[in-house]
Amino acid sequence: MTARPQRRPACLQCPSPAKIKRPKNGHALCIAHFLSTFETEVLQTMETSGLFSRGETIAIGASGGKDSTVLASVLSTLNTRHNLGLNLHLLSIDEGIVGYRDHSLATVQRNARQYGLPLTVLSYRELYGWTMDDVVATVGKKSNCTYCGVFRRQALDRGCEMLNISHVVTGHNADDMAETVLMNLLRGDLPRLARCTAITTRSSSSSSSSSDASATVRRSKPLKYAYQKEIVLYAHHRKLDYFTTECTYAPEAFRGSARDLVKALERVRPTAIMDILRSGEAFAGLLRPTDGNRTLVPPQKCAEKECTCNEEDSLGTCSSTSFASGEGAMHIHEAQLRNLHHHHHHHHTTETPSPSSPSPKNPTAKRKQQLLRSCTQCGYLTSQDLCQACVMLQSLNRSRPAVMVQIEHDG
Amino acid sequence: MTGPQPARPVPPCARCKCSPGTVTGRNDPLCSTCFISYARSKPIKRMDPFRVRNNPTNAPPPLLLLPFSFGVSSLTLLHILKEHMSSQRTRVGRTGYGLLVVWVDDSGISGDGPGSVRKKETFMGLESHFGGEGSGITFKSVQLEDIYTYSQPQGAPTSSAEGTNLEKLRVLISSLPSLSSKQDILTTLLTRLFIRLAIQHSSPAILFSHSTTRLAEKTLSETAKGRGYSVPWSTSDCTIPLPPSQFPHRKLQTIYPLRDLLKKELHTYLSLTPSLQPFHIPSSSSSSATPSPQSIIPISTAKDTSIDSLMHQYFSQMEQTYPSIVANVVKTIGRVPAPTHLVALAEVAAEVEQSVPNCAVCGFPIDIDEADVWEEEDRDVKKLSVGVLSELGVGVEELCGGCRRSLEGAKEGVGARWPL
Ligand SMILES: [Zn+2]
Ligand SMILES: [Zn+2]
Ligand SMILES: [Zn+2]
Ligand SMILES: [Zn+2]
Repeated sequence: MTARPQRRPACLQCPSPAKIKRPKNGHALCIAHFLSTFETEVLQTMETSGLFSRGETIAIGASGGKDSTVLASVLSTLNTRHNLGLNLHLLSIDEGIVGYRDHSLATVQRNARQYGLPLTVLSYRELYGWTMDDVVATVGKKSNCTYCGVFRRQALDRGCEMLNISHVVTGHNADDMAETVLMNLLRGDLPRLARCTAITTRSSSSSSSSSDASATVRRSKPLKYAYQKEIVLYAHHRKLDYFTTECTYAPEAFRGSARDLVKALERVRPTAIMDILRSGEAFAGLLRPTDGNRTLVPPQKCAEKECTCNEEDSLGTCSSTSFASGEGAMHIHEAQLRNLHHHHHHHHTTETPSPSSPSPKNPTAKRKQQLLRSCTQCGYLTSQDLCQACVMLQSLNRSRPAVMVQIEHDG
Repeated sequence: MTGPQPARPVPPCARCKCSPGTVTGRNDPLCSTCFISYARSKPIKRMDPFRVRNNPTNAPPPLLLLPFSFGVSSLTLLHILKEHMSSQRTRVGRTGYGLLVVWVDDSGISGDGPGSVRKKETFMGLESHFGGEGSGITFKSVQLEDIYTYSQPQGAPTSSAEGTNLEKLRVLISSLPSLSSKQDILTTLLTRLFIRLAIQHSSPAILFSHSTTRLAEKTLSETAKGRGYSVPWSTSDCTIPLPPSQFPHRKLQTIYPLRDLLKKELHTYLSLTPSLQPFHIPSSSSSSATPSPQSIIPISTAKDTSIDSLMHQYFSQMEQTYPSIVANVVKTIGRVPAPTHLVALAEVAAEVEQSVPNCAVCGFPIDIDEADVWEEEDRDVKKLSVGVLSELGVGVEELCGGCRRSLEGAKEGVGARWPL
């Protein structure tokens, strides 16, 4: 190659011309150094938070989309390059969305072959007897994210239990985290605000067979500090095979509005995504109990436990780019807050209702003790008799005959 | 918002049930009398620490600083408090507090000369209307560049080449890299000027006139600027964490008396109070929105806006359709506690003459847990040049994350100096 004078600045780390201006910090880098920097930063995130230990088996929640594909690629690259000694396992959930999941699953299968990783696919139909398409046909598109979130969350846990894996990683990126921080502020959800930026959360796993009710599956987000734009760049320049078509279901209103806001903020100041994340981490620190006597985060109210808009499982089916629909949740929340205001006009309580609980709860109801036990239906750890998924399934199954009748009428 | 509906029967007021409910309150129709008393009751409850009985008979009432901007919020607050003081005087013969109304003229920076002239005249009119003998209200106007009169003499050597305070302020602001940074730093300077004035006038509290809407806006915009750690201090009624090394044993409160009223409710109050209207000068800087058609809440898609004005626009829209959600944001952030145990630590540290972790720019305590992270990020990025910092007279370890961000990419070699 002949060197010719050019105005392009050199890569920050080598003499070659820079090809990429990093969305995260504006750094000019050549492609090779962009890729290695991206990987190194994920490694640093893993190391500083002590995410994995040698010999650990990790399930990668793989949807075939860009985030989880990049996650699988980076983890398997780092595992080999730095000899981390991790056993990686792809775990995919088939929600049953025709035209979306069937194609993306094919992508996951190709990825599994390419990286030489074992793959397990679990379907909603197997797990719940319902596909997401069936759910949407029954409840409409307005609350589908609610169902999908709860179902998928449990599905990953159950998959991990089947595979005897206690740690699952998901492809949530910095944009998702920032969006969630703003969303929890908008919804006034303090408990979630306190935990939504944690890199690792524990979730209750099914304990149907084992007597060890404290068995939990850890969930981690190694791409927590990675910008979505850089994930796309990484996938592009590594020529990764991922599924680009986004799910057609609109996100829940608060998430949609928070997403608009994050995108607008990023345009104004690209570091805003990182800064929101830092602020979210600061809130978490401020809300952490400082001593045994004081709990700064109010205990979750019973209504809040039923809030099913799941911040941790919003990927894939909820990353639609159209926010025209799904305004319902905001209207419902507004109405609930107004009712509460009326109700409590002469009281001194400041309790807020669950932003998206489908049925209005009596806000004065005493808080129930947060004792975890097994769901009487399926054994999943829950604080109620039935876990969220089983409650939803019950109401879905109640409406199934009606749908059948309707179909007969139509036909 | 107000005004009777033509031809249609007006519903009765939800409170007194007898007069027609011509004003829309938060939820119900109210008559104008009931609306006014609703709007006054909330801020007056917030003034509880300054009841008459809390002030000994022989002592002069404490002077509370009220930042004034000619906007609907500070004007309404001034009016409500004036009425409150009058009623205290009628009931007990004296007041629980006095007011120091301060207008900071920033025309040297905004370049709005004619606006400044109009505001000066209006401010004088305001003084003759509200102030005077026995009113307990004094009026004071200062220039934003006066912040440089508080400069520490032991800082970097001052050369005569630096020029007037206004020139120094202009150099500082024009050295900043973006509209977001400029607006952020200007707000910071304004707040710190009010704090200095309050200390100078032995005022125990500053009464900020932020509405619910404005506080929600501030919460999210501080969050987006990486100032999450100081949000509990900058949005709640609290004791300001003054650096104890500089102000030993000095306690200064902030109170947000209008925190339970939406901006649109303040507009209603103003529209029902004709005597106030001549003093209202709406800010001209309201950016025009170019909403994207599909959004639930329209957001400007313009690139050359600032984080503050983007949030302003977002919540102006939000309060129209979702006022309770806006109020709930403020209620929620009010439940995030400030790390007061750290302030206590800092006080102890000051007594043994150790350095206190307050940010040199915004003055709020620095999150020590977070400092390393910012530091590390910065080491890689090196956007905050050593040159800029030494010109400003600020050490990198004296900066919180939010201020660091606002100074990133600032022009070097222009001689910008930090005033405090
Ligand atoms: Zn390079
Ligand atoms: Zn169950
Ligand atoms: Zn009335
Ligand atoms: Zn600062």
